[in-house]
Order: sequence, then structure tokens, then C-alpha cells
Amino acid sequence: MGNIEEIKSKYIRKESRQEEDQVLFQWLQDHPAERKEFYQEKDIWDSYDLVKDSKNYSPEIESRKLHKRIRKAKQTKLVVLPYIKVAAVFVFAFVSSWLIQSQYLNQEQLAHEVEMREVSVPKGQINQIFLVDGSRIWLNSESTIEIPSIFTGDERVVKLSGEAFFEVAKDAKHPFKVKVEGQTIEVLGTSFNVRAYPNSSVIQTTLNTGKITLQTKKGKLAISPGEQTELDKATGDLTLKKVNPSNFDSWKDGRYEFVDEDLIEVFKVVERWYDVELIYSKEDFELMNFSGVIKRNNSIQHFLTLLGYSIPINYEINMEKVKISKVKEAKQTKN
Amino acid sequence: MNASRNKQLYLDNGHLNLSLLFQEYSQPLFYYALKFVDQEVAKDVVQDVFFKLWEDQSLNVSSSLNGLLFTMVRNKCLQHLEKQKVRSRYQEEVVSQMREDEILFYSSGASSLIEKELQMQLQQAIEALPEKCREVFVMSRFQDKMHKEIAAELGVSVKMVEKHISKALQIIRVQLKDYLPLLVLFPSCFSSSVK
Repeated sequence: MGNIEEIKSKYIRKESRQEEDQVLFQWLQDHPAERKEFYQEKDIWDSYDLVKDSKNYSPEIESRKLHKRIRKAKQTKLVVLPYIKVAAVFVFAFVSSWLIQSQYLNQEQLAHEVEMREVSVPKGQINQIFLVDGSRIWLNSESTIEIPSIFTGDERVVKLSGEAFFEVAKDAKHPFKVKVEGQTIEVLGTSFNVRAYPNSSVIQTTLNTGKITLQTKKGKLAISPGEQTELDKATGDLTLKKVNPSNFDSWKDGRYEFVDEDLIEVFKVVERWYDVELIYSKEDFELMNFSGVIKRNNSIQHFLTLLGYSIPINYEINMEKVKISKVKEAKQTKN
Repeated sequence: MNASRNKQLYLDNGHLNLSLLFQEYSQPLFYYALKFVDQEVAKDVVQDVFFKLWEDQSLNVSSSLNGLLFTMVRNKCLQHLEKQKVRSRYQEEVVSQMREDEILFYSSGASSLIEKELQMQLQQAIEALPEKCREVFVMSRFQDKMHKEIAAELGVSVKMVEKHISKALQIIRVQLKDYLPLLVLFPSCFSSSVK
């Protein structure tokens, strides 16, 4: 029959047999102190059904059912109580205006079949999303992703603005597609990082494992693990180079690793990560590269100190605004 | 933000804005009911709750709408279980008893994670699990893999997989202890919409 831990775990997963339920019920009666822990563990398990929407519950369909029922109830009321028809007219006017409005909305939703869900992450934060199909997405600061509430049809399509790391569950019959401005990435089951911020002139796609295909206006390109493409948004040109992918997805673990990265681009990352506005003159830092690691749970000062090691700078922090300037003379001062 | 949402929940004539309520709450309520009853029944329960709200439009629930809705779902589920108990044979009774006992647990003040906006915390708790434990938990819970499959894939015994899952649940429970055992004296109202 197995021990009680095993039965508990089976019951939580709804895989227990009746004899086992009997044993468990008796055990709970005999051990009232364990009851809370058991139901809490079950609750953790149950709650994930909502996170995953594992039963594909559709509020739209259910809402239509409810409206039908309300309409029926309305009619019955009118027949049963004809003498208060006058009053009923007022009620009916109110209800029908609500019905018409929501029916109209429903029809619109029906036309689109599935509702798109938008997830946005503000500056200074990162978030992780689990999809119904088992895929995982890490969403970086100031990024937005659009996901359908359920995947229907032949493809799993999401839309991204900003940076995200994808771990896509394999499903050869339903290719996964990531649409960003100017390119579409087609995936069968793999992990990769996309950086497509609107305020950047390029889109970076870095592949960790598996295989992806990139579709741009100029054509298709298959990418292998360890390769990175850079799409120039203005010209549509695509360049391919070898990189160490872990440098580009470490942000999801709270670190950013830069290797000879353009300093202005680094500044943009810093602004997003620490939710600050950097004020600097472009000429001061143009054509400079930065290498180093910044951590999200360090403060902005940490980055500025790090930067100060390689370039003599002055900085001034005033709430969310940070002024940085290069020290022109040889002497180095800091406020 | 809460204030403006509160306003939307009521129409100009002071009645509840059922359409909006349904949109916001039907899904979490459905999954809550699913803890105690089967899928089709759970759908009916949610329907019944909102129909009742419609019948009593002028209901003033400004202080604890969230608490009220989840309580209504619990009561409906309980009614269903009681009806079922009368009809069912002795062997099936134990499942109903277990479920009733669970409802009782929540009626006495414990709140479910479903009532709260805790996806982030849950995910963080999973992230914090020891690696093997996390791997097994994610495979089982998110990829719906059979324990046999997981065992084969990872080259461990099914017993070991079970152990990892139990351990994962225990660790997550401890991680979330600040959220889980709350006694809801003042049920959180609109702030806990679950998306």
C-alpha cells in the first residue's frame, strides 16, 4: 500500500485509489496537526492549474452561457408577473443594455478567437512567464510580450518588444514563432535570447541550444548554437558572428556580462536595470567599449565606481537622475 | 488605482458591473472550485455564483468582494458534495468526505494562493529550489510528464521522483509561509485580482 507520504503525494496529483484515500482520510483524522501542512501542499499544486490555465477555461464562452441564462430568467419573470410589466420594462432596459454591450464585445472576441494577453515589465525589474505549452520566458526590464491566452491553430506565435530569453518546449507539429520589429524567429524547441528594444538601432538574436530560423525582409537564415545575429533595423542587413551565449542571457539570473560592448549601449541597459535616467553628453563616451559584470542587486554607484576605474568620470546622483561627465583634465575628482 | 477599479465595478445606478466582474474573477474562481469538485461541476458553480449576484444586483459588497466570491464558491461546492453523498455508494463517499474536509479548512480562515496574486512569489520559490528538485518539479507540473517518464529521462527511480516532488512542495510551502496560513479577518478586497 506504500507509506503515507506516497499516498499524500498521489492524492495531491489525483492519482490515488479509493483504498488509499480511505487510509489518508483516517490518517488526517488521527493527525489533526498535519492537516494544515497537507492542504497547503495540495494548494501549491492546485494553484498551478490557474497559472498554466491547464483546463483552458474560457471566460468568454462561460460569460455567454451566463447571459443566456439571465435572458431566460428575464423572460420567465415577464410571463409570471404580467402586472408589473411597467416596472419590468425599466429593468429590462437596464439589463438589455448590458447584454447588448457585452454581446457586442463577445462577438468581437469571437472574431479574434483568442484573446491576446500583454505582459509588461517596468524598468528595474525582470519577470518570468510560464506558458501553457511548458515553455518558459524570462522578460527583461522595460519589455513587453504579447501571448495568446491559449495556443490554437498550427503555430504558437508571440510578439516581443524589448529583451527576452526563451526556453521553448518541443512540439514539432506546432512551431513557435517570435515576432519582433523587422524579423520573425521560427523555433522548434530550443533556448535563445532576443534583444529588440525600440530605442536601439539593432536587434540581437543569440542561440544557446537547438536550431532557429530567422525570417527578415531580405530572406531566411538558419542559426546554429553559439551564433548571434545582428539585424540593422535601418538597412535590414543581417550580420552573423560567434559568441559565448551565456554572456547574453545572464541577465535572467540578475547579472549582465559585457564584453567589449559599446558604452552607449551599456548606458541604455543601466538605465533600464536600475530605473534611472543617465544624463551625459554623447561625445564624452562615443566609440568607447566597456567590459565587466553588473549585478541587479548592486546599486548604481557600484556601476559608476566600476566605470570610474577605466575612465576618469564625475557623477552626481539626484533621485532617479544621474549626471555623468568625463573628467577632461588628468586630475580625478568624485562627488 | 484601486479606487478607480472600485468605481468600474459598479455601474452608474449603483449595481454591480457583472461583465467586468466575470472577466476578472471567473477564471480564478473556476480553478478554486476545481480543488473540491470536478471540471463540469466547477463551471456550473461559477455560473451559479454570478447568476446569484445578478438576482441580487443591489448587493453591497464594497468591503470584501473578493472574500464574498470565494466563500460563495465554497458554499456551492459544499452543497454539491452533500447532494452527491446522498446518491453515491459507500466507497465513493470517502472522496467527498476528504473534499468537504478541505472546504472546511478554507472556511475556517485559511486562504488559497489562488485568491492572491502570487505568481511571482511562486515562481521565485521554484527558482530557489535545489536543482534536481526543481528539474523534477517543473517536468512533472509544467510539462505534465508521467513520473515513469521523468524517472527514465533522469535515470533515477520512480520513488526518487516522488521524493523530489514531496520535498519541492515542502520547500515551497516554507518559502511561502508568509502568504499561506493567513487568517483572513479582513479579506483583501480588490487588490488581489488574479490575472
